[in-house]
Amino acid sequence: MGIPFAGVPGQAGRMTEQAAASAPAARPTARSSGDWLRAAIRRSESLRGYILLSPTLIVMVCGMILPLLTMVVMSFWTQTGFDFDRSPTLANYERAVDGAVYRALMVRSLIISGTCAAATVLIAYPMAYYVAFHVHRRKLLWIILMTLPFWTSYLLRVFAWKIILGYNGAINSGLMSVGLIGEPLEFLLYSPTAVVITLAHAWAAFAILPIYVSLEKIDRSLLEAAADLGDGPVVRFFRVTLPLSLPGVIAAMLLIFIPTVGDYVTPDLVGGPDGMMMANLIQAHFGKVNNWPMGAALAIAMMLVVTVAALAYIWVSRKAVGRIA
Amino acid sequence: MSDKAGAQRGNRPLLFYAIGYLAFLYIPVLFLPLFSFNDSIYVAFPLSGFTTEWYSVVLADEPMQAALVNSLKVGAAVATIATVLGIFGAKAVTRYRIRGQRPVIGAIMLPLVIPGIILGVALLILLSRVGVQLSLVTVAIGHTLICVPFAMATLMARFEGFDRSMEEAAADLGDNAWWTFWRVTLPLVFPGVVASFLLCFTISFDEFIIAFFLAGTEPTLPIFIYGQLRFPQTLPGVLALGSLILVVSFVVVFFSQWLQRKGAAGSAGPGI
Amino acid sequence: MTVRDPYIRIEGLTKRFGEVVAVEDIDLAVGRGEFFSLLGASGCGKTTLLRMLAGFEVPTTGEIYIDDAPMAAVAPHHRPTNMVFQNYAIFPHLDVGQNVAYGLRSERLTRAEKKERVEEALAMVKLPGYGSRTADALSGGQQQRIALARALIKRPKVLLLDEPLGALDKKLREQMQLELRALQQSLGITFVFVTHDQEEAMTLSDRIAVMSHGRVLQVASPEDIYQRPASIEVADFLGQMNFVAASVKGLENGHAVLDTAGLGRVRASASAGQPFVREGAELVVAIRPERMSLSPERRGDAPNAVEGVIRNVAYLGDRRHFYVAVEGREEPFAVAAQEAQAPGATAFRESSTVWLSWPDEAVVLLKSD
Repeated sequence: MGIPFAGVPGQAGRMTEQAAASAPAARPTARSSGDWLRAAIRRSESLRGYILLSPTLIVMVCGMILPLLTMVVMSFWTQTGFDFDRSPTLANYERAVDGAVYRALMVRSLIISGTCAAATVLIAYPMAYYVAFHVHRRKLLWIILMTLPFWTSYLLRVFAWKIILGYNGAINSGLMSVGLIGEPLEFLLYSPTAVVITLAHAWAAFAILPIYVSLEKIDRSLLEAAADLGDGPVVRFFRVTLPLSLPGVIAAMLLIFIPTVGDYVTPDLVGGPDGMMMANLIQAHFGKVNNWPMGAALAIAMMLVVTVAALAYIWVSRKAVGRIA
Repeated sequence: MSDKAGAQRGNRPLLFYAIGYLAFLYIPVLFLPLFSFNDSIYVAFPLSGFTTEWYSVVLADEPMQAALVNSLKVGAAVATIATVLGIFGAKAVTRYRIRGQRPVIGAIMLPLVIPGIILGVALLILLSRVGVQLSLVTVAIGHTLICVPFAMATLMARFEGFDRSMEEAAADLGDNAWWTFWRVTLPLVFPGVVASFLLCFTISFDEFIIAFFLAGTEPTLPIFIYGQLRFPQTLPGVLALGSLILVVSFVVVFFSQWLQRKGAAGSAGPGI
Repeated sequence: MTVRDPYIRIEGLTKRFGEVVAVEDIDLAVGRGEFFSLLGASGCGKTTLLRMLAGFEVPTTGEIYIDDAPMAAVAPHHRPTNMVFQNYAIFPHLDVGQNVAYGLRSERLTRAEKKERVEEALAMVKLPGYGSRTADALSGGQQQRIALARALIKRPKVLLLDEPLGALDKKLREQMQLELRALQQSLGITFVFVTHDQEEAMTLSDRIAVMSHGRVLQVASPEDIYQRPASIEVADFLGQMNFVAASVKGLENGHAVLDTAGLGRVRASASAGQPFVREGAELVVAIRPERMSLSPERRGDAPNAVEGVIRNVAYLGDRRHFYVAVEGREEPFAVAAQEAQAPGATAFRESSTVWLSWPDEAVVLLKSD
């Protein structure tokens, strides 16, 4: 009968014996430092990745961190004519916090940008919904159509609204030429509303695309499941579609809110004195006002406020999503 | 079946909404070409007559030409540098397991969440403290910083879109890293490279907020246009210029979308 | 069973991804010209092991030798191995000929020589004249052949195959298995083949390494692995197996006598010489379903038999599976009967009382966990 089973455990032992007999000849004994480095690089995938990443990372970190640090340092200085008093002081920040004008402008910036982000998302949502759920052929054409105006000059898109809303602009002159009004409507241009409308138009693509992507990702069988379980179209939208598309909505809000807070062109062109925003003030400190340290302090204050506002917004919307789910 | 009928019913109002929305997007923009052919220096209704005068005026305008050339130079340089940096970054984060990958990507994407004015001001302060003269180079530096995140995002999508076993197969068949890159990686990410280049070029070409702080005596096109907007007599010329930019960007976008689509169709074939 | 001429030697090989141990302290030797399979469920470390052979993953510790040369410092493009990828990795921007010729860049051949080599490789995989086709016009099976031709054109010493047949349908897979085996025998190249399909591994291989949780459980020929599994895990992974807890009552001239729960007193001839088979030892008796047979009455000549009731019958075309419940055991025994060899099998219906019997040599003794 033999002992056929005995071969199995014995086999591994014999193999290693045999391997050990021939191994030492092949094993290298000494390595130069160059070889060592090469072996280390080969061995560590993370290291190889960082070597490849280093040009990009160095450029970006230096390009962001160094300027921001210099700005932080300067914000503690004082402008003296065309030179700086470099003794560190908190005076700029104290002025920024105490000054009613600064606070008012900051609050107005947040309100205008927040309103603009909300309005842009609100009017873009049905559009994105239509393309995601009701366009079956030529989807790409619709996407290009929705984003095409975005690719033209930002400045000109803003300026186009000045043409439309202006004192002698398209609306006023159009209404007057058909005799509906005798005098131009002055409230159209140079108001916070004009800023919100203009920004909502200029940043539309940043709302449409994220919302569209999040709607498109929704598994259609989930909607069928909701219908199967007794939800009508409207209830189904609020219980399934909307919660699942919220990540896109949240992303769109941030993508619009953050850059528009820092926009000074739109307020300058269509805002008028009542539509001025924080960014205009910062820009002025590096131009007409010529107080760079104060401008730096205002920029840092704005960055902090925007960051806090964005984080608070993310936190609140996460909570909200959690509650709906 | 009933679901489909429901979708059909819901279709109508939404379709009207969509058309209205597109009108909202397009009509303001289309006012530019409309008034650029108007035979009056006042941008107002009623239209007084047809002319192409403003086009010949603006095309003969030497400061405009200089600004256009400046913008093209900056745009091309920025698009090239940002795309190259994007290729390095995208390849590194999609092909290697890197410790601390999320914070690293976050650091590179940082310009997306910092208002442009802050970056512009901070760069202005640094450059003036170091004593660098403001010029087109400093504009290009600022634009590169805001373009790299877009280049990275575009290229990462492309790198993730093709299987890393393609590159492994090239290595397995005897190619070192350099040859693998030229023979496999670059051809496969090429549509992404073109898309990234066009995107970065467009962003730089259009960027005003940062360029305003960093440009020296040579203006870029947006800075030139911004200057012209203050004077009523130059307005029609700006409208003509804007219309030309409009047409060119439409053509470029259509071309790049077509290219993207072609690239996506090519890689969606069997075997991937 | 030992490897006389080890061509690949793997010593103390371990691979960790952070906290996860993908491959743990593996020693293996693969002979020259051997068709060697790594078999295991997904996540067992077989693909990681293969990728370490190709050089795509760097071992955390341990060393791989190919033809006595250590591979640690050798980059993938310098290794004498070539790989057929699981998804084939056919370059979509190149045509079939360019794909196959891809690896010839470094060999400095003339155009004519290249063309000849490509045609030769395409003929080898039975796709002659396909050189000018575009890569995306190929079926899955054709892509698989192109991937094979592309690897073989390099004349590798070792061909690594990562589940190359996994994406093909069953018929095509079986055909490719035969062709692959024939190709390997005619070329004499060492093949290392990764699969989770035990039938495929058994059909193709000279030897199989069964892997689980990063370790090698057993290395043996397909027959030995099936008939004489080294552990419960291996026995369970390959095919169906009836397991019964048992204790050794005595050893007599090459036989072990055991008491079991359900099968009564069992005699085992095979593996009775194992060191763990001692008097009084608690172990596990394992019997393949096809080694058990059914009869309406107790067969007089059967040394081992037990009475039971048929719970379930499954008809599989070429054979039938019966699930027979016996007293003293909850789980029924599986019995497989070839349709052709069991003419009376149709008489065995659910709830009929039958006798189970099996020969001494069908009983495998395994260490209990």
